[in-house]
Amino acid sequence: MESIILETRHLTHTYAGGTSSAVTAIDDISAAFYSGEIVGIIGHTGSGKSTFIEHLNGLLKGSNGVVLLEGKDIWANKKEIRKVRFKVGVCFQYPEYQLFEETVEKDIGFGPKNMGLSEEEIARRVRTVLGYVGLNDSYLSKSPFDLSGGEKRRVAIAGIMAMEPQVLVLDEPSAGLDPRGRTKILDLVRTYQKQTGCTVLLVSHSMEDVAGLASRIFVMNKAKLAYFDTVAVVFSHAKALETMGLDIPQITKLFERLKENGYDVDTGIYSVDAAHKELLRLLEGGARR
Amino acid sequence: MGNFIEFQNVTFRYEVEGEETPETLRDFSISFQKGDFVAVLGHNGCGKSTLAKLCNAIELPQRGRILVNGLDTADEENVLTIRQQVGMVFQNPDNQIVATIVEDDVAFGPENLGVLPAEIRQRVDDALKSVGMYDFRFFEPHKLSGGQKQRVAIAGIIAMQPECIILDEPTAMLDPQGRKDVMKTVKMLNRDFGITVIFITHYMDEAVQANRVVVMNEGKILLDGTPKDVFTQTKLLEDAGLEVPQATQLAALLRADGYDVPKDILDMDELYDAVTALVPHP
Amino acid sequence: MITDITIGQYYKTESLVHRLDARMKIILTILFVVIIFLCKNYLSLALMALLTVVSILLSKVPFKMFLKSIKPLLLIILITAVLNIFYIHKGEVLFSWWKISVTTGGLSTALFMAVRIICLIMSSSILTYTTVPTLLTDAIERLLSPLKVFHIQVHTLAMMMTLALRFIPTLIEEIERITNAQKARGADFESGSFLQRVKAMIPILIPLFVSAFRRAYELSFAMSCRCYHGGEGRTRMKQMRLRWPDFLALGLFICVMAGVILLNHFFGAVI
Repeated sequence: MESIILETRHLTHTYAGGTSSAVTAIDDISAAFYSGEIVGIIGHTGSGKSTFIEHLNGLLKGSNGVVLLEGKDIWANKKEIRKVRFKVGVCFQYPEYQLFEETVEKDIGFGPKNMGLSEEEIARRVRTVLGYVGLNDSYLSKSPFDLSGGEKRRVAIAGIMAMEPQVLVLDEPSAGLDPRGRTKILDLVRTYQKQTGCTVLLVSHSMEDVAGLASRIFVMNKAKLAYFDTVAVVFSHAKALETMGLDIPQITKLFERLKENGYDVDTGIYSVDAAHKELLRLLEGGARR
Repeated sequence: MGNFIEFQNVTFRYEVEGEETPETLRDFSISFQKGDFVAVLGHNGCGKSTLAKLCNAIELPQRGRILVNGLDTADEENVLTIRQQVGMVFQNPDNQIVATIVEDDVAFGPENLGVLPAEIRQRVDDALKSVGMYDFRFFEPHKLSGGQKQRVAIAGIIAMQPECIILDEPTAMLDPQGRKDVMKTVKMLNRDFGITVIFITHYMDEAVQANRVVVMNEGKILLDGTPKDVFTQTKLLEDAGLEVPQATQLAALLRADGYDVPKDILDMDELYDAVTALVPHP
Repeated sequence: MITDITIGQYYKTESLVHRLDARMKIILTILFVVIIFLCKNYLSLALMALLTVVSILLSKVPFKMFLKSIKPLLLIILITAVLNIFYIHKGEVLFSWWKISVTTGGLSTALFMAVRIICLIMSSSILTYTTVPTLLTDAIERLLSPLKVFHIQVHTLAMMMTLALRFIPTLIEEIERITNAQKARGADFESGSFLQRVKAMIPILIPLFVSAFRRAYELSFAMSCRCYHGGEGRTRMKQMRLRWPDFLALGLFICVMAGVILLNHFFGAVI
């Protein structure tokens, strides 16, 4: 958490709307992401978070401001923009719909192949990332279309990981999965981050998911950056988050309410374990057993 | 209240040519009462979507039978009546809207049933108003949000004046606001119109709002009862790959520590009451 | 944004032409085609041009929209004109070189044909600019319904058209989404030879087809669930009714047709 890997300065994106008026999708966003951290990106639908992440790997170019990867403007050389996409790997919502190859091996290898890597290197990477997403080598020769929904999702994510990006951006990686699938995806993101030490940006609607994984939270509201701070600090702005149409974790709500009614508890608590400890502390001070 | 839908010893497997497929449901019996609000839970592949498709004769069982309002789904003559009485809403809002204008889409069901034009008009307007989408009646569906599309889909079912609506993970692809709106609409339909609701979902916070929760696992019923009965079975739920509401988890932890917290806590409000009852007010 | 695209060419405004019954508009467009092929001299053609201009003015659709509709067909108009100039040898020879000669008759036919084609394009544009696509498919279904006697699935065809219209924006969004996803994996759609670029489309086309089939499958379920069982016994919420302006328009077209026949008769044929 020492050096800045990715940074935006006054990033703004304006486009001509359907009617004559211009729409500002993201407005003057300056933020720095450190290498090796996990950041949760939250915001209601239409807040601009999808547009924001499309700027990070140069799918969109801001009308104002810059995106700096390792201190260099990603648009410094237009022809090199494809190389930025290998360093900032973006995995969009429902990534299983991008699968197209005959075998899982070829599909995961699509990114590395576009990088121009050797056959051996591609083969090595494919096997490594398959391990990251919890699938064994027997999957290599399978058709991606024969897999279950959750497995397809994991293969698609592996396809981005295989580019060995320095920053991995995941847009709603657990959307539409059952609880078992959801837990699996979040676990693999955590292990992957630990093993590779890369930076992970996790876009999610689920506050519980973000709270369980990220160290800092990036909140977007109406095209602007509203908060960018540690999880506890961001969740302590419970009321403001709710007016932005965001849900705060159930547990955080409980402690907010206790605090409001004069009970001596910490706020900014969001995990079951922390809540358990804090409730015990409250109960020990004079509860009937 | 009588049984509206009845599964009698149903066995079902998807038939794939030249393959031995596993049984999705095996000797499965269940009944749903008129006016009930039932949540069906279970991880993917547990057979809950199959359950929905069997209810309105999209699929037919290999053994056993299914009665809807006393009508056997296997009898071809009953199919249209059954589908009019049991409406279905699916997960992907895009893939169930047929027309290029919202109000034309809502009219699709009644048109298929041969309802007279003036009455269709009335039904379409009423249905759109009841889901809060009347102001969008002239919109093109692709300009709506996911939650709005899903409410249009629900209006399209209501316009057929069904007795029962089955929703197959209707909120899985929606954002939190869309989820809330859909849930509110469904609860209103159950409460104000007495429509039987069978709500298939992954979300525990949605399931706790039902009157009855059925948990399925590997084609069988694992748990069946009120939300309080079901969600206090923490061990069974976790084994089936399902979450337990966090309030219930916390209550269980506190009980294990020896505090007198009720067992059947489902949400944070109940937990708040239980905790504050134990601590003198500051 | 891509979601702002409007299906078809419908131009939203309030006008007399917009309010006409879609069926009548289709009939009038066909009638227009028939009449314009009856035209034999410049006077009758001028009458048709006048009818076109009046219709455009009544439709309240800006004239530049019609110029836009001609643009893609400009090449065809020019080629026809050039062919007419060189192949028709009538009247005085104006210019001659080697085997090629240009005659007054040739020039006149070329001009005549060009005006005719432009009128044709504009008349069909009036139909599409002033009629919502769904109403068009509805109207076609109703106009063709007598064909049911010959066991032609008119309803099915119309339903297919409606569904196609419904899913065009959805699939365009999908293409955009898949393209972005593949670009994020380093796919290159911008450089390379023609063959390489065609090959580069595979990662977009396969997911697109897979998804289109999945959608079709789910849609067919959803339609069955909503009691769809073909056109039999089906009613429609929106009834189409012919009102007096429809008949007035038909009357006007019949008068023009009579006028064209009379002008042909009294002023002789140019072509």
